[in-house]
Amino acid sequence: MIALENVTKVYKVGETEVHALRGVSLKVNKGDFVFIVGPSGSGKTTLLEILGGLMTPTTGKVVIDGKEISKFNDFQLSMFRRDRIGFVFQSFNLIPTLTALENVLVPMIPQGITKKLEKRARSLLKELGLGHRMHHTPNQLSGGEKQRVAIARALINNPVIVLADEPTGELDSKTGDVIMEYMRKLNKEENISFVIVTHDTEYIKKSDKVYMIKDGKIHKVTR
Amino acid sequence: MLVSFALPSLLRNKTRTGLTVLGLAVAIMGVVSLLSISEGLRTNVLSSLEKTQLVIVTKEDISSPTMSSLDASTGEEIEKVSGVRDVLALTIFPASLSETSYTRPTFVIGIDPSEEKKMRDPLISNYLTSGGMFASSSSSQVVISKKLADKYEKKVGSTIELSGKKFRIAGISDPRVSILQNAVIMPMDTASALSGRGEDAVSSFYVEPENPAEVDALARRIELSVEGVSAKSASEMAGTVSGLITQLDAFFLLISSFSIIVGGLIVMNTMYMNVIDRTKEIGVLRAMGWTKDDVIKEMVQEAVLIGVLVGFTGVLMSYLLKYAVLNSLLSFNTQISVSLALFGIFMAIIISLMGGVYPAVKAAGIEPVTAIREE
Repeated sequence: MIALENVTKVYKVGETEVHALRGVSLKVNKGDFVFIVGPSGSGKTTLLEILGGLMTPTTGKVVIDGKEISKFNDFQLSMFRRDRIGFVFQSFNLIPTLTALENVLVPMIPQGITKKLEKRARSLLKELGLGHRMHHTPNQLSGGEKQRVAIARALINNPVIVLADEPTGELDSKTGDVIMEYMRKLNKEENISFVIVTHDTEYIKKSDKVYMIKDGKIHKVTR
Repeated sequence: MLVSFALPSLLRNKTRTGLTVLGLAVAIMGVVSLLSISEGLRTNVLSSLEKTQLVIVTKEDISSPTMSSLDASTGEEIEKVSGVRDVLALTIFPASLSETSYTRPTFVIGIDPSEEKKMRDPLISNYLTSGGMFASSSSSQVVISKKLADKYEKKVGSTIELSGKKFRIAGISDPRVSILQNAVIMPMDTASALSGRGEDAVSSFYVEPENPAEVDALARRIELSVEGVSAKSASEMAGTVSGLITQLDAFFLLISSFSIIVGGLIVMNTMYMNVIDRTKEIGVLRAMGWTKDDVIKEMVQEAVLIGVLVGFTGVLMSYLLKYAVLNSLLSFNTQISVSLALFGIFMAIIISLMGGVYPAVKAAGIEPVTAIREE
């Protein structure tokens, strides 16, 4: 249901061309829990951005949920992200003046916040163990709590896939484990696909779907 | 319910938002206050003119009764025009009113009291608040307007000195015609002697029509029948004054437009800084599916919100300025009508919107990848 076919991405930095991706092919099935690892500058962030429709590839095909998004324009990509994708960031990126509940609802503001959406936001926060923190602003929450709010926000639109960029990068290992457990639980119970960029080898050991990216090329890690 | 986070966004940097609102509010206060001056003028000056059903006859091309000069015989010609009920000749000249400690300029108006009495609505004697009129032959009695009486604390029976000559106050009147409201009124002969003008020279004629509804038509007839005069009804006169005040409005708007431009730039600067500070946040919104238009909408809402805050603050400040300063500084009360207040608020919103356009476009240009890339 997610398929990258021979995807390349070339940036121009001044006069020089930077080949971030050199022919990447990848399949992620519904309900997969996939890790992507690689050194910095390997192209893993670029890969995540292309998977999430934040940009289009230079060449190659990106098909998600039956839609070829590699040819989408800015508006189509926005709509696609709005309806199908959830993002979790390393530094949470919550809006400091809004409460946890409001932060979860922020992606839906342009469509209008319905009672039904608000109910969903509340139940997501409860599911993530934040039932008692709904009306707290980010500065009243711990790092782990902030990331759980961010996960709830990523799920508000019922995405087919959640893309996480170093989601445990700013958390201590114990809190990081909790976050990772929540994501696994959601993956199993709700059958949501996760693609997680990380460099934490502890998590990789436990997973059977790990891809390594290096110099713009991807390999499945087999153990 | 959460429809936008414009307000939380503006409250994030309270000092910045507060100073911006204050900056533009001062500009709005300036505009509203200047326009309140002309609005006050309009109400104060025009109300007294418009209520009377008179034709004012002056020398051709001179619309001010004080500047005009006509021959007394012109009055007889005016009387012959059909539809004229009464003609009252006025001689108007400036004089100095001396008190023991100071001298003030004022207007002296000479009339014939027996002619005045014949009018349907005698301009002065009908509005006496105390005392009575002077006799035609009297050379030492005057009637003064209530405004002057209040200003100089004069009563019936007290004396005033005009250009070195003493007069006794026979009566105090509160006339409706504006020119009489700040004047000393005396018999025509006495006035001519005091001014040193010939007895045949008068300034203007106030003509009462037989049919008050025909006042404008009568003015036209007088202009056609009598040579060398201008005739205007009080309402036409008001139109002329009104035209002058409209020009004053335009001048005031021109002056205030400079401060308005500065105010708009302040809003632009603040919004621009907000966008720069929130680059990452806007990138995240874009990553989560907000379109460029959604981002622009959010920024526009913030600009409108600033405009609303500015509008109400500016109008409130205008009221404070009116009661604290303007009303005591000027001889008439300035006026802030509901429509002027609404105009101030509306203008604040428009300017904020204009100031918000560039920052909004800038915000919409932020790439969604910023959410991940820029730290």
